[in-house]
Amino acid sequence: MEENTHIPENDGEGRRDFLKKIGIFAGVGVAAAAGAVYVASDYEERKHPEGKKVRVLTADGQLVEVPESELQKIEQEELDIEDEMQRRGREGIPGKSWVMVIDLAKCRNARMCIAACQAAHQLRPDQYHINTLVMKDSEHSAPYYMPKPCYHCDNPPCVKVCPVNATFKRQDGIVLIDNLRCIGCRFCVAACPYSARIFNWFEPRDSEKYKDQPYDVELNVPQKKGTISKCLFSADRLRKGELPYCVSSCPNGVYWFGDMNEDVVVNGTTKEAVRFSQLIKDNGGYTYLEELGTKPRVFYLPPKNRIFPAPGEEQTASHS
Amino acid sequence: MNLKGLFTAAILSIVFILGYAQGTWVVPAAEKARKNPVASSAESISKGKNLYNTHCKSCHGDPGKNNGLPLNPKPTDPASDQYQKNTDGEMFYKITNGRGAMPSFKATLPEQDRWNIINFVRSLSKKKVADNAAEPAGQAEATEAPAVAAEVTASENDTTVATGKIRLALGFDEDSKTIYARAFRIENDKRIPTSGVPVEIAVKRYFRDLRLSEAGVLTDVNGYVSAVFPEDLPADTAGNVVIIARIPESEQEEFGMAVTQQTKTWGIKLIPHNIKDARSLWNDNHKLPLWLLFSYLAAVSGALVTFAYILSLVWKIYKIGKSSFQA
Repeated sequence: MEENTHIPENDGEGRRDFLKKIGIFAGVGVAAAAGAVYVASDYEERKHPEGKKVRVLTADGQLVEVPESELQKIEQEELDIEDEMQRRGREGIPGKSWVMVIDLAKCRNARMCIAACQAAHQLRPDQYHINTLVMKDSEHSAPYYMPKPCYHCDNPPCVKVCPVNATFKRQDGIVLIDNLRCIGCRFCVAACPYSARIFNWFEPRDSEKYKDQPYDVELNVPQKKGTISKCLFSADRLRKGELPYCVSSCPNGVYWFGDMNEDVVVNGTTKEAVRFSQLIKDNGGYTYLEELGTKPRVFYLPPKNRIFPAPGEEQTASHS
Repeated sequence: MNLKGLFTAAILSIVFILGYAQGTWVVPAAEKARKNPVASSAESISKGKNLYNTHCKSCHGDPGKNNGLPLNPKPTDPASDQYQKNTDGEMFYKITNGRGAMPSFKATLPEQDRWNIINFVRSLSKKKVADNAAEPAGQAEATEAPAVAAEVTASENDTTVATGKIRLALGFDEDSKTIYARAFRIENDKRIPTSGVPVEIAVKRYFRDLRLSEAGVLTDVNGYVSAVFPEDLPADTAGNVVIIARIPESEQEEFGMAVTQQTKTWGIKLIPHNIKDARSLWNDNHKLPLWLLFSYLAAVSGALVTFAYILSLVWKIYKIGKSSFQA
């Protein structure tokens, strides 16, 4: 025990000396380097008064010189755009409560809604945000076509299970997905009783073309491999006061879209505006599988008095 | 020779198929001879035009411009001579029953409306003969609006934005929540009420404005169109609604553009309600349900308390061990 506490004197002195010398050398070195950098930057500054310039090719093919600081500014702006799109995408449009009405009597499976949707959201032909299904509920019931988007439920099971807050509900009722946050666990796919969600198993369509576009959470473009996507009620169009892609491309007047707070829905084909409550009341509107308690925002009008033949039926001129 | 024969056969068969597809919509003789029970009046034509724009235009296009959808068979332009050859009965039968991509309107349009459309379609060909013939003004019934009439005529601040000669003014009856729109021309600094002008009264909404007046209605002899404001129409948080009178877009070619608007506090006040205020499992993290918050805290703190208890027991054992060793 006693032997261990003994410290040799000359040992400590030597180390201190060594550290002192190192310190002096280091100090001189740093001062010299700083001086060199200063002289060099001063020279550069005198050579280019506005700072270092970079050559860039403009959109119209001209080679121009731009100060480096300016370049950074643009990048920052782009980032700001993405931040802003994220912020407003999360917040939604205040005071709105979007609602869709689908008139099953008018659908003849023209599939224009699907085409418009797939074009807008960078989807492959086998990926559907909205699809028209042939329905036949039981042996003796009549078949009909049923367009099926996401129902943007007011009690969404998909949002409840997301472990990373990638999918969320906004104040205007829309359920969105942030592809930048999504980790691809597909819990939401399992939770959704309507099979509204799709997974990007492969590289999205034209991913090369879209890759430099800033990500818009209200459009889900550019799509990302290994993440979820689904119907967005065309949140980007609603912001501009336009009807969703599917609604405005329908040739048969199937879709009505509007704001429940205004109690008005507009037909995508005829652009006719009617009272939402009246439309639902007069036509016996319902929501799909409402017994699940999901509170969907998409209403159906039953396929009564249809104007086109039912699926699988031949058109015959009947005599009145 | 052989090739030529084949070629002729091919052409013949194409002609035959096309002819079969387009030309053989046979209408039963009894239907063909059916007469139009609705007299062709300005009102009927205006209503028909409105119905045409709603139900037919998306496929048949603008009459006279032959810009229908490229379907097979191609939807006929209703103003074309080919279509005008149809009798009223034939038109009625075709609208009623449909064929191929042409839907049947038996269930969606009442008979009266179908005849109104036919009156409109017929007016398209008559137009070529007597374009814009003045309709006798006395036919339309005058709307009773005695008090408001004076108000509208006297109001000097004319807010109409117009490109044509027709201008519009809005008047209101506060008790019955009735809106009057008056169409007039200004001649020699005098306002001359104009009848037979298609005017719609609407309430401003987000995508499209909600029309309150009857579809395709024309101004009466005093130049009035009226509409009743619905009792239960929601407005903004202050109860403000913007009421608009205008010439519909489809009629602007003939009458020019004219629009005027005014704000009224007639609507039901919107109570701001944000669905994200409620605590729920689907809401943001800070809005989690209280039961989840408390059960989570209980579970975590329970685990921590258990750990602390075990550590205290270990400490006790250590102390006991030390004291018994000393003893």
